Amino acid sequence: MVNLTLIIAIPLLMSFTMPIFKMLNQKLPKVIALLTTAFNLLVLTANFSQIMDSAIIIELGGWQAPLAINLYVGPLALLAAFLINGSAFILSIYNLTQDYKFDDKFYLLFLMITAGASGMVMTGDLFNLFVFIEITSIAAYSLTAFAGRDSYEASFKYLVIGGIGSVFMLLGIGFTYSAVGSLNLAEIAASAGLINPLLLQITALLFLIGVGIEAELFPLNFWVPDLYTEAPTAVSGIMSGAVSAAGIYALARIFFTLFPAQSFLNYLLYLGAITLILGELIAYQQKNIKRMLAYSSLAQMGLIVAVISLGTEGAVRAGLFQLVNHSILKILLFISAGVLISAAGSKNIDDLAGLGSKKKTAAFGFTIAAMGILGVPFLNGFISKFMIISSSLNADQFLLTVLILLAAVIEIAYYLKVVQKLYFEDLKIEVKKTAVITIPVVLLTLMIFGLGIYPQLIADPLEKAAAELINNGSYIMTVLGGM
Amino acid sequence: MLNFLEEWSFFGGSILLILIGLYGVITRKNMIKILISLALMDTGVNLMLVALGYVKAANAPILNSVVQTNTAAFVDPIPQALVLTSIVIGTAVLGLGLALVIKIYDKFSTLDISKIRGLKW
Amino acid sequence: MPLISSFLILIMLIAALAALFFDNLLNSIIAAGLVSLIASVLFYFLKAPDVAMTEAAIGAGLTTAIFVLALYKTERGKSE
Repeated sequence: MVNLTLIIAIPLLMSFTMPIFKMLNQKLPKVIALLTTAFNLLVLTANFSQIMDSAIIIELGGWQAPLAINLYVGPLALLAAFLINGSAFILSIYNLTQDYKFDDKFYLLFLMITAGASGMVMTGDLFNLFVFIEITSIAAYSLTAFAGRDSYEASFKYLVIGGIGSVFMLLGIGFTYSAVGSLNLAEIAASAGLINPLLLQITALLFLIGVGIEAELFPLNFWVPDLYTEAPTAVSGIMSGAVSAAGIYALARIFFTLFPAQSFLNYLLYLGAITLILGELIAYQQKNIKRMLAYSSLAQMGLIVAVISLGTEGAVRAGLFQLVNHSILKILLFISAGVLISAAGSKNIDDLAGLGSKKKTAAFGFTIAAMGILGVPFLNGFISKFMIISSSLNADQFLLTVLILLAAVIEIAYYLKVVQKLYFEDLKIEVKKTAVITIPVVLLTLMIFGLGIYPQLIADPLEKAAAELINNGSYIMTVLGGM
Repeated sequence: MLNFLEEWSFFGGSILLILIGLYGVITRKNMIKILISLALMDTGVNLMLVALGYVKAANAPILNSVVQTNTAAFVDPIPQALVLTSIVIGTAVLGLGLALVIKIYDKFSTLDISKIRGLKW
Repeated sequence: MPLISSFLILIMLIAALAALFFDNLLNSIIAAGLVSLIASVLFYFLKAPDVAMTEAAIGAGLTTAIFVLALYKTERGKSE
């Protein structure tokens, strides 16, 4: 067993020593980023079987649970941490072939976002959660600006909305603290029933605004398309694959463990459903491929939030499986779209016509991932879609089921339009030289088929994670001991 | 009466400050003014947090030879620790925002957010 | 004493509104600095001297300084 604090500590250490590595060798920052994320994955794997048995609690500073800040790594946090560090690992492989203007600073921020998002899912303290959210978002603001020109504006917009969100989140933390007298998640959860109902509603709303910005929920997500369109491909990938997953985790942690009440879950259900259907409708009209992927990403986040907030065990499991699949598929979509865009020199879908025969790997990756999102059998998306629909039918949510199916139909329309353009139209433009992305595409494709054909691979962690979310009593018991 | 006024002017004042900041962020067009409004919101929430931890007729949470170690006589130090962190985070965000404003000004020669070509919403 | 803090809060709110509605950016920035300064005095009244020091140094001092710096790198720098 390796100490899990290293998952946060090592990336932070490596990120701030990045300029020194750059001084030693120009190529070193890329390699260090790759090694650090690989190390994180190894640490997580080494702890896997123990966490599956019982959650690991690390008390920082050697104080007892309600006093000290503690890290809580249960099955759910493990799953999310695997997603975050896995996404960062794959994108670091992709980054090996990329050149950024200030690469030491790029990798500094890249590792910071990894550390921040890992911290978000591992912490057991409300204020610590806020600090990690801020670390993640500040790194994300500056990473967005790396593409130059229009990306500055996207970054500024994200910074302003993120700043407002952090104010509301802090206010929520203040109200919670004044009502409960503790910042420990387990202790707040244990005494959430004692909070004045009106104050609880206000606090929940404040948290919804604060965390909903990270999780890309409906009224707060207008910055997302700009960011995904203008940011460098690797940044779009990590925002979609890792940061939004951490946001969903924080949302689930707050609304399942902290303030478990069906009324809040119902609001989340409506918000998620609105996000889903609006996202798909707007994605359908987009001419810009990255913007299309961004709106599709929004829609998927809405779907995941809606399904998780159904609140039954099957639904939570389906939603978490969809979260895993969405991270894998969206990263593949973003990196292959990035290569196609640089080959065509344009982000317009019409300009990508005929690239399927020239850029075989990228076009193949895009097609496989699109099929995965659509839910073609033997790919991972099929099983999670199936689980989602059956669980929403089991929960007697007929309207939601219809909406999900409708969204799936719209998805088929716009993804197949791109695939059809890639393979069945004549090449119109001159193809430019691009980076090689064979390794990440192969790795991700293997994962897509692996989870699609053999979903039992992930069944056990998913089941335990869902059980952890549904039953917050065990979380409280594990952290506070037999109090 | 006066005590009541004292207590609620802190809560009311900080909530009004947050609302003024929010109004500014939404309505102002000048990017520097948007960031000023964000700074006002930050100040408001910090004031709110410290006011939530205030205990009447208590001492500042500092141990020294004059004040005995009777913890009931101290105001709550945790919100103050949170606010220290929050002030630093807020300033970091503002610094980054101003750097972006300078960059945007270099490219577009304007501070007016509505005049920049404008990514679609 | 209570009236002093209420009065200060009133001035702080007026300064905040002024920061939004001044046409001249430099005046806005100074008004925002005044808000921070009054906030730091209020922190002292609330028995939080450490926060008061930090707010006075970072909120009123450093923040105002970087705002003015940014202002001179943009519009002010152009007009001269």
